[in-house]
Amino acid sequence: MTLLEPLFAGLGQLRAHKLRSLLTLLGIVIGVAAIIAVVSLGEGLRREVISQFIFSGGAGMIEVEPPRQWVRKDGRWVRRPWEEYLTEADMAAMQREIDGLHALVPEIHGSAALQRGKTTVDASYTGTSAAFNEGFNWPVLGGRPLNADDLRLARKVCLLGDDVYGNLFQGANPLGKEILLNGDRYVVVGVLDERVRFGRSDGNIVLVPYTTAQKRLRGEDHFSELTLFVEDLDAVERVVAAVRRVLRRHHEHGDEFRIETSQGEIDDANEVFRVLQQVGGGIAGISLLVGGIGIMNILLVSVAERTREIGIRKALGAKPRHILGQFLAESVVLSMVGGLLGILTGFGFGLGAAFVIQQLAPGAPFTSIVSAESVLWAVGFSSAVGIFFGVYPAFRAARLDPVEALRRT
Amino acid sequence: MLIELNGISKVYVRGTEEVHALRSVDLAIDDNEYVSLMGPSGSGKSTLMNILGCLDSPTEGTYRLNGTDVSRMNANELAEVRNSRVGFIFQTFNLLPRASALQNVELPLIYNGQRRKVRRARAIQALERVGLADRMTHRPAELSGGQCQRVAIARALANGPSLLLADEPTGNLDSSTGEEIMLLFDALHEEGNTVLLVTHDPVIALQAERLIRIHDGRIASDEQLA
Repeated sequence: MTLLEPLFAGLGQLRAHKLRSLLTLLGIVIGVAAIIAVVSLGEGLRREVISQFIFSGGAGMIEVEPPRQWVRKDGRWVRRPWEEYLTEADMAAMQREIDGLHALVPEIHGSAALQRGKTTVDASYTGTSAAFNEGFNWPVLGGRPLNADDLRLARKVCLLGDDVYGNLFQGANPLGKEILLNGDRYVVVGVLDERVRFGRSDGNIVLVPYTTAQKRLRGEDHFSELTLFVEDLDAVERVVAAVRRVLRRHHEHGDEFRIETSQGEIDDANEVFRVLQQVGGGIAGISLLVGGIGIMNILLVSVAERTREIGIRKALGAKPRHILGQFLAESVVLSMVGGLLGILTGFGFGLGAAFVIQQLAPGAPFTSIVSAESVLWAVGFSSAVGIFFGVYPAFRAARLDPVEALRRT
Repeated sequence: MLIELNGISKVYVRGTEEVHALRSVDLAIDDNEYVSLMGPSGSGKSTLMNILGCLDSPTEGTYRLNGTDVSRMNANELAEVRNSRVGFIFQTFNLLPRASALQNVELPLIYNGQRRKVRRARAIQALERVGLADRMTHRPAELSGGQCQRVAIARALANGPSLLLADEPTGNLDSSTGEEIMLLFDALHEEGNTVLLVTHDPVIALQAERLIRIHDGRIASDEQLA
């Protein structure tokens, strides 16, 4: 007897009891579909998020921020007795001492109340330099970037994000025009290209020279953060060490400054999605378990119904293992067919969900990616369920006494 | 000697009660005999038939089939004996309803591990022997009772058994069809098969060459007929 014979017999049983098989399959179909849908949507989301990280500066991005002022001590939040900040001297030393830098972007953040004529817009400003456009790969669409004179003279000039530009100028030429930024007059020298990340526009922003932001907007001499970009991914570690050296030399608490790499963020995001997928997959796995119990139930019914058939087969010389194989094959066929239907359903469901979300929130980072891995998992898991829940009914069938079995009508 | 029973007993426990279905039965049947086994219901004839067919094992005693002791065999060994040495024919035919005549006849050949081509050829041969060459793709529901019983006989013959064991083979057939089936058994006997008919119909029983009556689990009489 070949291996295929019981499989064909199993398919025959499926056909013989269409409605019953279909209902039994449903549990497996839903379970597998849920696994596929959850894993595919999670995978799509993960890739999208990762690609957004890359978009915003690439994997060779290193962010440096000053120490937090509030720290947790003995279960309470307390303010540190000291304050240290990123200064122009830090930036100059990094620029001078670190090789292989693609860009070093200083940033000072604050909120900006903008006005032109009677139109007002709430936005945020970033005090920075021309390195901003270079590092974040965010080109100037019209006009010019910030230049050395702007910085040296702390000029009151600005570049507008596309949202700000649209709200204040409604398509009119803004170059050389004046706007009010927090009540002071600034000349528009450029407009930024549009930028959408994670489904949201970053365009509600105004760039000003960092010197202007320090002297005129905040009255401080330090930066909110410094962001370093390296061309070579392998250089990230070396650059991080060099940054730390500079900070230690310049500051008493140089080790308290926070340094984050984009690789670290990508790793973090990957970890979050891995956990999400596992939890989602686990919940879906529970429905597969329920489906498996359904299979077991229907097989027990099938064994009871076909007791006479089992008796006949035994009278004709079927050994216990033949009967065992026959019912196991039925169980496996049932769960594998369910698994295949589930993959298709899950695939469709993932695409459908991604489509609906796209309709509801255009630009949302939702795609569905069916990985070979998730398909393998679903098929493997559903056959395992079939075997596991098929063993007991099959075993019962195999052990039936032929005389008893033949007596049954 | 094809069949040798020595001191065969069978005790069932039904609830708290012990039922002695067979009490120390001795019996010998030779190759190519044609034997009827008669007895009222509850006499133990079904139990005797089950033991002879290796569907059941005796509580006590030894059973030699073709010289091999089969009374202490395990489930797998008994399955092999049923498969290759015994051909069962039942009152209710016991065909698989969803399988064609050919597939039904192939069943014992499948369990015998025969290759596809061999078993197809042998199944066709067996169906031709019982005169159903033109009904091979029909399912049991599409066949008459007599034709069903012929399929069952072909299935019993498929592996070339030592013993054909027929349990009320005409019980579900009208008398003329029953007679045709009996003629088939006569012919099979003529061809050298050993046939054992279990029946309570004296007309059928008397067609055999030897008649064994069983009563209360014991052999009441054993006579050679004309």
